[in-house]
Amino acid sequence: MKKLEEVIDYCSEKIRKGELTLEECLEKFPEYKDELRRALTVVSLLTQLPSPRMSSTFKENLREKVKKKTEKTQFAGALPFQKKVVALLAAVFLLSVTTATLAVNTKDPQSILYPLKLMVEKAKLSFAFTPAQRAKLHLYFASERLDELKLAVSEGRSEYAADLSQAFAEELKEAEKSYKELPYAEQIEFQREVLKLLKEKGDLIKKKSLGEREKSEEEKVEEEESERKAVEPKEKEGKEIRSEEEEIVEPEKTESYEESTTDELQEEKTHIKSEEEDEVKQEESDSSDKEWESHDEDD
Amino acid sequence: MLFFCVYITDNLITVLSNKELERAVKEAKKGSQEAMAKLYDAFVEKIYTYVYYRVGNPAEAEDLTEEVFLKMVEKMRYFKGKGHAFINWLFTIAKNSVTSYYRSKARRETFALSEIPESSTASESTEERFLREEGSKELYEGISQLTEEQQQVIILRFFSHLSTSDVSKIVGKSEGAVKALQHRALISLYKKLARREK
Repeated sequence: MKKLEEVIDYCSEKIRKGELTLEECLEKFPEYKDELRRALTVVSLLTQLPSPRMSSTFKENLREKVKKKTEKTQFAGALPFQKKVVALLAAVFLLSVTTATLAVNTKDPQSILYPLKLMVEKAKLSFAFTPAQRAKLHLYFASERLDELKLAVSEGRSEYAADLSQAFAEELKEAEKSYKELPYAEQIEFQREVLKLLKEKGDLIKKKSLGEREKSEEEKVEEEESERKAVEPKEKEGKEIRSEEEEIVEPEKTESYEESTTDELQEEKTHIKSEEEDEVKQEESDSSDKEWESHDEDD
Repeated sequence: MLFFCVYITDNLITVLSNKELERAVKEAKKGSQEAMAKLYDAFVEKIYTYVYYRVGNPAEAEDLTEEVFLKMVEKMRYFKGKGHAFINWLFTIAKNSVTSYYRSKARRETFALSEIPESSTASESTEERFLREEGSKELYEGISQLTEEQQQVIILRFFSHLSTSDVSKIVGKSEGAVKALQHRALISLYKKLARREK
């Protein structure tokens, strides 16, 4: 069952539009008969009231004022459709040119724009209609791959080196497929260019291997240094210990030296003494021998 | 669903389909003079009626109507809605203009007609006309004694012919609240008229 407010609203609308009369509404909603009659009586009176009328001169004047004001006012979307389309196209063109330029200039395979660069290259290839044009483009792309390879090597990003090197080789291979379509003079130029690129790549590899060797040597030196550094403290420690011992031992050493000198003297003395004794003994023995000889002679 | 906005004035019936209204609003936002004039033609009488019943004076009602439409042109580029939402937006401008008018005059927003709108019926006799005008006067007086919110709802619903949904958006209340206000206002008016008859 509808609420009384809703029934009044519904019937008011119907009476205002002339779709239902007051009596028809009362028949339709007998449950609210009394209350509905009061409300709808007023609605009938209100709908019969005349509307206020404005003067036609005022209405016309105001119309003109509105039009003039519209002419003077700046509107946000005042650009005509064609101008809007042109502006939009120009914006899209500018954006695409800027992005493509940025992408074409990038030599970093890690860059977000790098795949776009490759796409631009593919697009360029699809617009190359003769084998000669394709050969030139492939040669240009090979030089691009070489530049990227150089950059990757110089920045120490070896993970891209293999792919770039392979891409370089493929581009050269593709270029060589159709270079014979070029005029003779251009063929020579082409071959020179290929040789130049190959030489550059060779130099790069040499440089890289040299660099690695240097690096390995440097690493060796570093290792040695680090080993030496690791050992040095031990030696130092040893020296320190020894000097400490020496410091302790030195006075003892002097004493023993003194002792040794006295001993030597004593030894010398005893030695001299024994020598003297030996001489005496020799003399005695000599005398005894002489005695014996004399005795013999006597005998 | 094709919604038709039907605007009834004394002898003029302006029918503007929802699509036509939407197109006119779209063009007017771009600065089309024709579209702006079309919107003006469709709504000037309704706005004038609303303002007239709010201020009760034809001269001031004209001034305020002018203010409303010049503001409409000025602020059209800021209007974000489309189609039917334009009606609520325009009436909100009118409502705010009336509020400013009362604020500047330091008066309470009350309904007090200085003169009763004239009827266009030419065939009625002087006596009939007198009786009708007397009845109208009593009804207007009854409306003037309603609360401000009840007055707004009655004027917008029965003089400006707006739907409950539109009125709810203009007065900033729910549809249920608008229906309740309408019910109370109608019963209150009936009681006042019945008391006078006695």
